[in-house]
Amino acid sequence: MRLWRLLRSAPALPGYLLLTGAIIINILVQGPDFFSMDNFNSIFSVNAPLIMAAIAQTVVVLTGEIDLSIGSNMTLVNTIAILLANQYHWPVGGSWLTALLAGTLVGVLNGLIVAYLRIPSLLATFSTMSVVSGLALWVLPKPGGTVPSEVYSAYGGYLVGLPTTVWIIATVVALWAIISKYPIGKYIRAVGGRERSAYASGIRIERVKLFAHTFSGFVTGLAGLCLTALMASGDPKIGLPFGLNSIAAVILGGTILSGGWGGIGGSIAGALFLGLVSNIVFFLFNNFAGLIPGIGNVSSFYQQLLSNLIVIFGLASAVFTPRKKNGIGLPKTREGMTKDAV
Amino acid sequence: MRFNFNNLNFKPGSGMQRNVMAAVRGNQMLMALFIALLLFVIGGFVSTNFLSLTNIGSILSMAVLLGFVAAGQTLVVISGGEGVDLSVGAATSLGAVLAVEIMHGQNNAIIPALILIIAAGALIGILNAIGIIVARVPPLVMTMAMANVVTTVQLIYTNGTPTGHPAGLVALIGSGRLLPVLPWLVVIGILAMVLMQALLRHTTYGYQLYAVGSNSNASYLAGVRVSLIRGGAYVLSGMLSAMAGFWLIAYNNFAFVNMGVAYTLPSVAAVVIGGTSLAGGGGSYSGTMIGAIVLTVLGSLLVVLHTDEAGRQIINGVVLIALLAAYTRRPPIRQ
Repeated sequence: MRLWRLLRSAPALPGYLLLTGAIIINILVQGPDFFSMDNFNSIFSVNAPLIMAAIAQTVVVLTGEIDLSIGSNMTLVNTIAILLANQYHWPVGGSWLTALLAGTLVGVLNGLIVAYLRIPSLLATFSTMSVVSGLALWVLPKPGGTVPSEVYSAYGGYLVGLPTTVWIIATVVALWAIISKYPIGKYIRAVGGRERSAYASGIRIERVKLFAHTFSGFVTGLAGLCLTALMASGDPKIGLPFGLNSIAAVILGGTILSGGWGGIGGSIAGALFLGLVSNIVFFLFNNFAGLIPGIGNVSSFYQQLLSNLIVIFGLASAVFTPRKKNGIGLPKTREGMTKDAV
Repeated sequence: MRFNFNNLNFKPGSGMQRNVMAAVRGNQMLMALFIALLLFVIGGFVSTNFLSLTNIGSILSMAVLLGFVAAGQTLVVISGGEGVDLSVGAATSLGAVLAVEIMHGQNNAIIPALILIIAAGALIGILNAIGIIVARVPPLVMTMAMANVVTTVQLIYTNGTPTGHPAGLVALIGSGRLLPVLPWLVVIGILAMVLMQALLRHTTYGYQLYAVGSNSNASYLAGVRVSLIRGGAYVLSGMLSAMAGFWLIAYNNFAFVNMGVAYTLPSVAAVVIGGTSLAGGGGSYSGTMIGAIVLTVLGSLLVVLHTDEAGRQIINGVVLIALLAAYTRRPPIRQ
């Protein structure tokens, strides 16, 4: 009972519950193969870009803003890294660092527009999304290019007994844990919780938002590099699904879109949940679709439909998040869901 | 369509502060109109053909199509509660796909097609409303997930490629013109503006929608059924967007899966440029139409300038940021 109360007060509870459910179902449909190290490795290396994107999104969402441009930012990072290494024959390290810098700069740009121009972030990042994907298209108009085989085999390989991607994710998580220890970590949540009160207690809101967007841009850059290593080529449309999927992962992980409540642990669980759902649906159709006549040839559409429906039910299950009553006579809403109109 | 206002004494635009607010909002609409005219003039300098009556007519009918998609978006944004509907594009696509598949060029299939399109749109809206109001999923995410579902439903229904084309009469309305500058689509757009304005300003539902959007607690205490009004906005949005799909294929004469998805985010931008605040509780559909015109003129100006896809996207984004910085800035926190 005490454990339940403890869990219930954790913002990431729905994320962990969903992930546990997904893992159990995955084991059921996949069988004992699930427990092999190689399977863990493939799950992490395929989903690392989404996990990183979800972390980047969480930091922005915690301040009460949202970033739609994460997907196009990842594309830009991908195209720059590929272009510099393939066409201008830069060393891989240099070109990838430049790409990471570009991703961080996009974050800074977003932060400046949202914090100092005070444009609502939904619209501001929608506009930068257009700019950044245009830039990516200008950098690399056609898909192509390659990544040295050492890079992608290292990405898909092991380092000291654990998958490389686990190390990458752990590094980012540790970085965020360090940031959370400093005042800025508290300020980020304070600004998201109630901007006015944060301002009144002397927090420089603009700087906090700028920092959050910059950090998010940096992590998005890492996500873009992970995606480049995974795909081993460049494509000006590669990051398209990540913008909205990262938001879905954040919500599934129990972080509240109006800010101040949540954490990256839940978002990682949410991103893994999204990855496992497509795994489950794949195995389900592979192993059992033959039993139902007539859906053989279109089964990939049904696979998509099923995984989309599972995501909706996952989203709806976020009602388990702790709530408080915050409106007269209104049904209980999740804490912080309604904010004073800006 | 007037009802009695026994238990509801709310009028948008009463009280001095509201008058000031209304003036500012009016300004924002005027400003959007001014920007649209400015873009037309710039287009005229770039290419003399830009200001020909035929071209203006074409731009207006494309703007009306965006305006149709943004109609439901306007209602949802007005309803407040962080309301935004990202499933409008998918609903539009579904409407378009259903329209060609059912009509198959036959005039006598128009009415059944319309009924089915509106029913499908309503179903999307009802599911959205259930997710948002009953399961309390944030609107942004719920509608986004719903858009994915609707897209896969289209894929399953058409097996990837829709077949068929709009009925002759519909295609005639979609591409024909009353005057060179006045395509039939624009006439329908003006009609839609009048109807939407009537819905928003002259029905109980409209008044209650503004009330719910500006303060849901106060309107609950005044006896407004907040969930019903807010849910109704999503249902109407689904229906209006599906109808927009019908007009989209009337104009284009063909359909493909997900053809409306390019309208999703521009519809939000059109609503905001037209002076509807994302916080809810204020705004108008005529403003949204002007916002749609601004976005469409900008788009075709960039085509005239022979910019490639990359340049077009960059300029589009930069101009959007400039427009947003000019007049949708939030007040500084210290005020």
